[in-house]
Amino acid sequence: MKQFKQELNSVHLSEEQRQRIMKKVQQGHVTAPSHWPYRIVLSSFVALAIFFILLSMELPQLTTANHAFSYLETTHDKHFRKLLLLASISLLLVLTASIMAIRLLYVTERWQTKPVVRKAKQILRAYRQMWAWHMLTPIIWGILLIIWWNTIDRASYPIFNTLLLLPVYVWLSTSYLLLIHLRIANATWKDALRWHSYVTLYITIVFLLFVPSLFIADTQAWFWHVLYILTILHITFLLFAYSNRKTKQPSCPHCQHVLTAKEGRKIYFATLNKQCPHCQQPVYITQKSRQSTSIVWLFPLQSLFLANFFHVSWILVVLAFISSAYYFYFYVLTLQVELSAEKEDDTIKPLW
Amino acid sequence: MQIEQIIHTYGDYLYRVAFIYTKDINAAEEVVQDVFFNYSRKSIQYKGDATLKTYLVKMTINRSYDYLRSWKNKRLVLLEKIQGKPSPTTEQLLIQMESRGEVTKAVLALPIKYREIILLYYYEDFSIREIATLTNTLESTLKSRLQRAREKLKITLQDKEVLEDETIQTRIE
Repeated sequence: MKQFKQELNSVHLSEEQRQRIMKKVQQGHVTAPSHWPYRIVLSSFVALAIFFILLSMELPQLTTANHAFSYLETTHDKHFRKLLLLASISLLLVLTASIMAIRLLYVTERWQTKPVVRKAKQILRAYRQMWAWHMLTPIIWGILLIIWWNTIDRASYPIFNTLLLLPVYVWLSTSYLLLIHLRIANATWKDALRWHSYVTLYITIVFLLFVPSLFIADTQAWFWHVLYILTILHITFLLFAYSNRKTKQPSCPHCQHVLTAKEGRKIYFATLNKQCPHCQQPVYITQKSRQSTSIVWLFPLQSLFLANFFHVSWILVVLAFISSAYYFYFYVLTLQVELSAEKEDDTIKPLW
Repeated sequence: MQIEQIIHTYGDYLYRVAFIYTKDINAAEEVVQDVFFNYSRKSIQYKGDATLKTYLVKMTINRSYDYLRSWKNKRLVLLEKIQGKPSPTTEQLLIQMESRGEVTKAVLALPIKYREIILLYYYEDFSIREIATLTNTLESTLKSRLQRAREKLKITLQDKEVLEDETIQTRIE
């Protein structure tokens, strides 16, 4: 075994490795231990569960008010069961989205120093009873309306649909608002205000989309629309949380200037002469971040892919695609960018 | 002791320990880096019950197990099994191992539990009792492991010697 000792003693750190370790220990950047990829597993599970639920159900067709009216009256029980199931799934998705959003607020370390996040956490802490009631509201609302369902006159049915869906609309909007608000926590107040105007516009569009539910009696079809948006929001949220778990805002390798989202976008989309806006030195996107951003380019396609499983109008699909593309390409993408001072070898390395 | 000095003193040693566990030089570097980083952050937790070397070795063992349990490592192992070809790191490793010697190669071919006992007992000169404390395993289990590891090593090394002799003989003929 002396030979073993001698052989093993020949294994040692090179000077370069030693310097690298020293530098990383002093800088405080170290590879985080990989966690169980619960986000991927969870999202896959949710997607699969939704897929099988859809598969086991007959997909409803969007019908005119009169047609739907007679259809609903004849097959009331079956229809009601489906409606209940869809309503339950919607509520479940809404609740989990809210819980995940709040969790993200506490977990994301680089947000902890931001005054907006501190304020949001203060509000959450101070009004936790209020938040709990707020989360329970859609459930209570749904139960009350289901009780009311059997007592009301069928003539008031179209308005009833909107009332039933109202908490879902509100939750949909507030979840999105929270998501955007968290993202802009490191932006200036001017940016924040600008973003609030976009959010207002988005909510308006969403509400306008659901206005026809006042006139069309097929509640199920409108639930499909809501489910579609909720599912997209969920997947968006999961992808956002997953893709941002380790990343920081990109910084210049020369002057360590932390780039804003706008500056990051400019560098990422510039075809030639990528340079730091602060020190004007040339910068290059690393091979690793180029690979990770290439995956982000695929994320918005979820809205098109999911449209096959939901009977939703094409306008909604297009709007969902545009909004998610805008969100991923302009915000998530730039967060993935990593800059280096030297150009890396562009050739694709062999796999083995 | 300053962290620079600690890295200088124990860096190579911990690197060897991590290498025997992970069988990958890049992973070993990553493990050592994590160990020093964690130590620099949580050095207050070290109360001096054991020597600093033992404390760092324990940290290295734990971190190496983390790596072996990680999805990154499992994916690499699975890919190797499916493709039947060595991944780049293994290839590099093999090239380096050629110059490293037969015994180390034989030790690396052993399963982790045997590799561990051989390393701790023969290289680090820990007693069975110390290893039992370090790895939280029964002394009797460790003794039988050591015995089996020796047997396995003996078979491997004997086979190699026979092969080498045969090749020498054919060359002469």
